[in-house]
Amino acid sequence: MSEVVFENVTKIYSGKTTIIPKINLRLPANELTVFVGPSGCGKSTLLKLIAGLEETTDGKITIGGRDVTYAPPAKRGIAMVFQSYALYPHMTVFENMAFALQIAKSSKEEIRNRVSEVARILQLGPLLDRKPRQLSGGQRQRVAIGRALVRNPDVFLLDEPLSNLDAALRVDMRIEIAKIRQSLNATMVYVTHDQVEAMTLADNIVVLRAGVVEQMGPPLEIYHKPVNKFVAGFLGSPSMNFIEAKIESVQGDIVQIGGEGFAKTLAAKVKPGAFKSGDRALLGIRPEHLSIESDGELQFVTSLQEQLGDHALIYGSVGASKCTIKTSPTRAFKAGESLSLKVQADEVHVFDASEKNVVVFEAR
Amino acid sequence: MTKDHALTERHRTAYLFLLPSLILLTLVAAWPLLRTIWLAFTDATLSNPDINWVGLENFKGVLSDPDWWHSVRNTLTFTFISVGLETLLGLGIALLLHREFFGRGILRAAVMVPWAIPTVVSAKMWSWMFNDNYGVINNILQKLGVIDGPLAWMADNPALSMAAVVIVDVWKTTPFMTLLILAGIQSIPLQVYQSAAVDGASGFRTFWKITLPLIKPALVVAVVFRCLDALRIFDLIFIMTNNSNDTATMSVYARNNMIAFGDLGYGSAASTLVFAFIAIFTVIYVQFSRLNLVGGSSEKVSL
Repeated sequence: MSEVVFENVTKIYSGKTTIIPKINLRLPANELTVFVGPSGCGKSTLLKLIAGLEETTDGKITIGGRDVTYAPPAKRGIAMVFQSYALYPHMTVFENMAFALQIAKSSKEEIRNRVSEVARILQLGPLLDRKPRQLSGGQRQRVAIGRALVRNPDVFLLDEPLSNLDAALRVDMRIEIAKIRQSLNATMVYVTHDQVEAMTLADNIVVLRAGVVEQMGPPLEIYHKPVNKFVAGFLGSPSMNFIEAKIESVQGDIVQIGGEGFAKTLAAKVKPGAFKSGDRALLGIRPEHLSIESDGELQFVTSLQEQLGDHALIYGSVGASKCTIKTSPTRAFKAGESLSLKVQADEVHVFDASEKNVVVFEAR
Repeated sequence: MTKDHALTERHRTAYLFLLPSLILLTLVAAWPLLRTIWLAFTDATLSNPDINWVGLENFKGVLSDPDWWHSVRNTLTFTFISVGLETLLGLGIALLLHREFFGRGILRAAVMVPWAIPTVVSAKMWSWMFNDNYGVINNILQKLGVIDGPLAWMADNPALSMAAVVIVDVWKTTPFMTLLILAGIQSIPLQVYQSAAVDGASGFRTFWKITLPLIKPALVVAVVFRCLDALRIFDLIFIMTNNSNDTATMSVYARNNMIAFGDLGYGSAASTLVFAFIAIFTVIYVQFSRLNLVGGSSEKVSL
């Protein structure tokens, strides 16, 4: 039961560069939490703060209720998988995995048992006598994970573990990590900039921007109920369309949205008082929630089409805003064709001037 | 154009590009070397152009000369002590300079200064500092109360002269060691150290188990380079100890016979022996370290 808690944690580099302004975060025990965000958002820094590889400037970090803010890495009950794997190049796979146990003064037999158990789980058995340079990228990755598993950590930290692998291997390793996650009784913290990894692996996603938590929640909640434009745009591929619009009328908490490129207005339930008639707004709608149907709300002008076999992507614009549609395979369109788009009403997002999502989700 | 034809064409071009450096190497390296070896089998002197083949006479002479064996002993002593000290100091300084601290860039540059000064200049400079009457070193040691009277560093006592020469060589070439070792240390990725920290390795253990094995290739190269230099040491000793027999090294011995005594053949035999000595040392050392390197990472650290 090792919950990781950040209490008012700040991280400032050399007294001037603020990476983490002030963060309060509770990572549930025995769940896998993914930190996502663009580069420089502080996700790796947060991980290193948990590991103790970076010093906390202010605030408190606890693991399983124990204050570890100033504890050395080895005394935190953590293990870490590095982006570059950081295997010891001069040691064999066995020695790499045994190193921490040797330092912890485990008996020879204990070390052998523990390493071979983990090697069996990760199918590293035949590789134990090899040096890292004799291994493929995927094998090195597995050794790095194995080295962490051997230590039986309370908290398992993974820093962009798949980013050095090619696409096919990445999918395999992702599934492997998901399997390990199921069999492992540990809190896992996973840093990535890959939203597919975030969506598929996470129990909870923490979306970060400039050291600030924009939103935390289960993947589907974040996908369906993003709190602002940043979160909405960050998760999902192709990313959400944002269409410049105008509030045509307000009746109670129902607004009618229209504007350039709208064939007719679109009704949405928003938080009371979010808009008054005539306000500018941003309509958010994911590419898969648009369909080509006559009598739709939006007027779409095509520019380019990508056929991907199982589906097609059509790029174009609605009014002055860029727009992408994801559909089932379809006929080829000429550039500049005008199409009518139907919007899936329960998947509409409306962002106000401060880019907050003001749509009322309870209505769904 | 056929495939074979294209290939020979390319080979011809390759040789054409290599030719200037091959000619240059022949002129400045191969020719002097071969000529020296040939002279070693003759009775050539500086003044007498009449040269006769004498077979192994010169080598017999050199190898039965106690002064030669004395110079061999001097060379080995000098090499062993100075390279040893330089390695230890270089390693220590490299580890310090690898850490991040204010003014590191300036210090890194400053450390290189002794290496940048020409040997003749630093030898003369140190000779004055070691001077028994006016030298600053005797002065400081006396003021500190380490010695009662001035020491005659460069005169009576061979051990003292050797110590002085070693001190200057260490001062002069430790920067070279530092630089090579620092390059080795810097090729170790930060994440490997972070990983060791997570694994709970102490600073001491990290050094022995991670840093040292990983810089071993760089260390071996540095030591070989320094040994090759030290085994043929000439200028520093020749200038500092006034050509004294007490501190003469193999190169000084060869030079004296060749130039001072004008005995070109005899001196060439000594030179050839120095060459053979260094060549054998290099082959043994490289062979030995390669065997050991199987356990280390001889290529650039790949993770």
